[in-house]
Amino acid sequence: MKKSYFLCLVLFIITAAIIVFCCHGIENSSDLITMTGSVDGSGRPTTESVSYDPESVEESFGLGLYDAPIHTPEHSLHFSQTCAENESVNGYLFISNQMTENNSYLIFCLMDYNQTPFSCDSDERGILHRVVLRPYEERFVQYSLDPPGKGIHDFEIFALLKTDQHSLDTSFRQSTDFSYLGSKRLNLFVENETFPVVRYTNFSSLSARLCDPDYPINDGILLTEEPCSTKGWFTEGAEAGDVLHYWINLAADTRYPVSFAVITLVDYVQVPLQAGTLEKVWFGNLSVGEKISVPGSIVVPSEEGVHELMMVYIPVPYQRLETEPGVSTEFQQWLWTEPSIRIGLNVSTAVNASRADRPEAKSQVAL
Amino acid sequence: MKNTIRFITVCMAFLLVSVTCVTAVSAQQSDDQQVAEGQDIGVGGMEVTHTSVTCPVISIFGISNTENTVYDWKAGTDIWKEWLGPVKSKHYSKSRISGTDNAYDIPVIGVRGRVWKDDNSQFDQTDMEYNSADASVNYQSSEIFLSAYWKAQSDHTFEYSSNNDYWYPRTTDEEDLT
Repeated sequence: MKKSYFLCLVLFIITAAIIVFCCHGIENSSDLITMTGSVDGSGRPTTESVSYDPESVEESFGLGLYDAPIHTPEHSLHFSQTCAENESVNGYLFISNQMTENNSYLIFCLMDYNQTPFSCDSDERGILHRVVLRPYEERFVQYSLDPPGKGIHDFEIFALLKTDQHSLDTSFRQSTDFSYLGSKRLNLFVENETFPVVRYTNFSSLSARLCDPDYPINDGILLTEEPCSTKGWFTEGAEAGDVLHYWINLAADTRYPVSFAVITLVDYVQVPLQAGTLEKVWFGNLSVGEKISVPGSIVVPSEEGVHELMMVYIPVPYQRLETEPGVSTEFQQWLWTEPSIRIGLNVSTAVNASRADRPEAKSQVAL
Repeated sequence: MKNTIRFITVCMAFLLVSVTCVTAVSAQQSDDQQVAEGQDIGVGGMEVTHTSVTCPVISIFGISNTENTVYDWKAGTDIWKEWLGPVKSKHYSKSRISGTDNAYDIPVIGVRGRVWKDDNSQFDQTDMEYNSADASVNYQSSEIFLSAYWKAQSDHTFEYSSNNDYWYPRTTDEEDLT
């Protein structure tokens, strides 16, 4: 008799446990957290809500370029701007921080694929400017650049996230792959309607290797230690002043050809693509399915500590980006600028220090 | 008394079997609905949603006119391993009339998906569509027995220039099979 009661009790507990577990599981499958966005100072409605698990989402922001600090389509620059020959390039970068935390955005500009000093709000001219936005804050940042001269120019403004993080943890490094970067590009017409002729780099002359057609990258970039490798490169121990060699894997898609520009940034400042040279941008075009690996190198920064190495892959350079204001030209290839993984360079000066300790080195310093 | 206990035992067993069956069917239906809606289809995944309000438009007569269309933009990544099957991932961007599954075309919508197996890049694909409501890419591993840490990552793009609405979220998902 007691055995039967016990059996009943066990069955009851198991049944109850299964019901609770199942209900919990069903509830979890629709567990979305809703956040309400902010309304800007003028009372204009913007993003109404963003729903997600705030613990999981690390990147969610919007960017726009405007001719005035007014968030309406009429004031959007969309993809082109016209300037007089001696007129400064002025505009407003709209940043919408659609996240539950404060975020620091590092802003820089490329004029014709070269990093250019600019003034930002009340800050003095410089290559890099930092703007901090509160949760869900939307803000206009005023920028101004020197007149670029007559012609058609490609102007792109970038906002980078998490630039104050220098963790060497692999998962953080992997998370930077094609992430934490937003940009807006436009054609800048300065009393001219003719696009410059792009001089594409002959990668063969740079000892580029041809990768297999099944190399997994498509229409993008991957930095690796070996040519055509699929193994991600995340961190590197390096000695100050040394030349660090690596491979830049660039790939067209298996369905369409690509044209692109690539640049290298060390601590977010543009440097030559190969140490000992002056070239800071390569323009490339690859046919359908073509995938190559090009040797790249930098001079390791002289300061001890963790430094950031990354490259930026910018599609369709010097192409008309809109057919009329606000109407994008339709391209086959992916249209948005992609950053590579940020490689954490753990720079030491141990060798230099030990050299400096030597008597002959000290005498050289004294001289 | 003995009969009563036997009756209760049979009822409990029946209830247990019923709940198990109902749960299994519900889970299957739930998965089907999720596939149809493009939400999580694996064991987790991430989806983010952006709901927008059309800004007021001032007409030439100075009368305020508000367009009423509200749309949801959904961005998601999901990676999972099927029982005795390959690892699969789904990366998608969707534009829908708010609260419905009806497509809401926007000028540009796109998604780039990448998949890593431990430290090795396995997959990288883009899909960019003009005047469309959907962009997606999918991955399926060629192997079945895979002991590794898998990570899927997506870069999403939504551009609606005439409404001044631009959104570039990133979503990720992982599957630890180590």
